[in-house]
Amino acid sequence: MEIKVLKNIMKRNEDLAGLNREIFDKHGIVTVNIMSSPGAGKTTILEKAIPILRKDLNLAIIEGDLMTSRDAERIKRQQVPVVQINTEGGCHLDANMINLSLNELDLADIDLIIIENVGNLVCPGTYDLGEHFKLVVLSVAEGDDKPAKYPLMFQESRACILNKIDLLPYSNFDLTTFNEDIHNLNPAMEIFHTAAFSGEGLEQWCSWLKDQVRQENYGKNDLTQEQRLK
Amino acid sequence: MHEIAIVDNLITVVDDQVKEHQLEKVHRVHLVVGQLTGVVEDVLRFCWQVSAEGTPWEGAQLTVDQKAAVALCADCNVEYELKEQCFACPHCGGAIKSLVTGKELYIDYIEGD
Repeated sequence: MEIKVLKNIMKRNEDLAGLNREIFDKHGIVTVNIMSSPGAGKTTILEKAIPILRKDLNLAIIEGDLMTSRDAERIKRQQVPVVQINTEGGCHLDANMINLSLNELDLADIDLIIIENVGNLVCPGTYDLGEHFKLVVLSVAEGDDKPAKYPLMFQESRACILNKIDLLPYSNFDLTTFNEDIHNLNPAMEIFHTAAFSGEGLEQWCSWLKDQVRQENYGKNDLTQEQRLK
Repeated sequence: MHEIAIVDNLITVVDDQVKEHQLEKVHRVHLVVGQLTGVVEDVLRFCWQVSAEGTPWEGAQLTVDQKAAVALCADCNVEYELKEQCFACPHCGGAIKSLVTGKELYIDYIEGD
């Protein structure tokens, strides 16, 4: 007999992502999932952004890595709660890993959780973690063709950080091609230019991120905007 | 990409169906997979075969209906297929308003007794 199923293959992950979202919303936490290829500069961006964001928000970071806790060690120096997830070879984070890592955080005290996904432009796009929105980081050294080659990730993200912008004069990265592809894929996408190593452009990105947290929280819980965003 | 993890998720849904309909044997599992998911069909099938050993779905055919990536134009509201490395609307040059198909990853039906 034929049984009509019509169920998402990733149902188990989606159910858990939904559960994560409920937990975040219950605690008034906004969660961001940052994705990029390895070496685009996610950790350096966080290192430089944390001191700016910390002025107004209580932060926690979830660090996804195949191996080592090097990134988590770097983040720990910024004096924010950090949970390391080692996927032991797995190429992405899934909702279950996030769910387990929430046990290690004091959720009552957090406004914003930033999830640094495993460096990979393909797989993380398929896994809903329960985040409120996604961000993608691309570095100039990777080339302007990446949005065209990995469209899903750029289509689904709310913003793109183009990092290592200081390398522009030394590369053949074509900003026009990049901007056109991004615009065609996702016209609403915000683009930020940063050089995380020197801190260039991070103030703008952080101020946008704070705005997003404010908007996500607006009307969601009893706390006023001012209480949430001190 | 991550076919083994996808098969792991797939098995959960198949197993639920086997229990719900008290199937002794599954003959076929038919999937719908969007082009943008980056799933490689051959790899998916290989992972499926390996992980099906000793289960009611051992030997079951895994068939896949590939869905092309189709977008809706933000300017002229026409649906068009996304071609490699070209995302602008071929009719008016507009940008993507939303994706109509291409992100599917679901089980359409199962055949079994």
